[in-house]
Amino acid sequence: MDFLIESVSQVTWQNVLMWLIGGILIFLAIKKDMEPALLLPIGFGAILVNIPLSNVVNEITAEGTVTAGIIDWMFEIGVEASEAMPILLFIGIGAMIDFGPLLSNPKLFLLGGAAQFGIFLTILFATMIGFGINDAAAIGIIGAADGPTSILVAMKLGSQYLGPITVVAYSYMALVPIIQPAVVKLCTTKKERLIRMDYNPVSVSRTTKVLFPIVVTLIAGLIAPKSLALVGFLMFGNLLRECGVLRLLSETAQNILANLITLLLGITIASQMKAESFVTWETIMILGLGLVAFVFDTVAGVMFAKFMNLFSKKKINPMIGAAGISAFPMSARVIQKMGLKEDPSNHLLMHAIGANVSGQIASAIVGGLIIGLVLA
Amino acid sequence: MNMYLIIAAVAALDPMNKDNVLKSLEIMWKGVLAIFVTIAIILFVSWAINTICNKARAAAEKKKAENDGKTDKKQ
Repeated sequence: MDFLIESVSQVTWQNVLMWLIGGILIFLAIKKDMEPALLLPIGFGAILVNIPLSNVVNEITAEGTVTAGIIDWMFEIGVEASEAMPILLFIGIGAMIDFGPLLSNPKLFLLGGAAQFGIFLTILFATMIGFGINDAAAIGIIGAADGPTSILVAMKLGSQYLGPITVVAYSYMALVPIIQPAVVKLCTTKKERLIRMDYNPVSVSRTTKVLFPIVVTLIAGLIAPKSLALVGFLMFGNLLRECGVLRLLSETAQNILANLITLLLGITIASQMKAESFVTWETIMILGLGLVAFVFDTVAGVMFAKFMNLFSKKKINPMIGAAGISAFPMSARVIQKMGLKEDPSNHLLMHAIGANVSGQIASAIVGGLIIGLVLA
Repeated sequence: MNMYLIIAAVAALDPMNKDNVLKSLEIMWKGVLAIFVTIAIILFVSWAINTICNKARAAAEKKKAENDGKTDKKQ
């Protein structure tokens, strides 16, 4: 009868803890609607890979040969070998984004750049508490508020904490509606939050919208060539959208491609959530550092908006700066809600969207810059 | 004040950590500079493209309106 309890007898408390974590992720996805497309597959995958003798992960037989498990295989092919999954997801994201609000008010670009500061500060803190530079940089990029960028940077830098980094990145993205309002309120006065911003968009020609992804690819590629895998595919997706002659491909990228990759990416990342590598003190430290990254990104965006107000006649509502992190479009929606709460007639959505899409470009560029600077 | 705190903290670290902290400071200044330079160039180029395109479109519309006016007069 031993064969019936062979697996049960090998269950450790770490396995049980991982089942609980998986359960919590599934609960957050279903009950709280927090990034369900990612947290649900990750949560289920966390349970799946933590069942002893599970054949979804690689098994080493008694003869010493390795039998491939489906989840480990998907990770090796889709993420480890070529980073294909996170990069291909960027085509879908690019096809979803309308850069119109940003192009009609280009100074919002600066907010996207400023709101990446938390990444660099987190790298500094991570090295101070003892992480190696590669791991620290991979942890810092959680502040990019962008799952695929976090995965790609952690992979490129060979970080051993890919699993915790990915889970923390997606979890904090889901928690943007809780984290950002508190931080924004701490850094702004009531008067600043009431600053009105009328939306009078400058007309943006189709030629500009078509040229924009090509120009961004060239500039980002020439300054930060290591960012091209992300920025290039993001802009390729956007070119599909804006060219006007590939409607079906654009729709496929936005829906089918993005959904398919999201579905597979979530469960594939779970291969990095095996108890032996996940239940560690480092995971708790990464949880704390991820929060630092999100908080200081938000603070930097808000402060930079205040700084811009020193020089501009048309004042910017500093809350817009917080949308410079690239949790798209959640961060913009949070700022719109906060604006309406302060003044029901002050609609900040389009300005916040402008800063938000700028953050999307900036975070991808910063990802590439960090890879280049660490590996230099 | 903050800078002194960072320097004091760095001095208290073991040599391996110290190297990592110094490298992270280097990444910070280079990264912040590079992202703002990149963003500033993208900002300027996209503003220039949009301005040129809008002016060209306005000129084309004006020319078309003038041509339409001339055709009306001939008729």
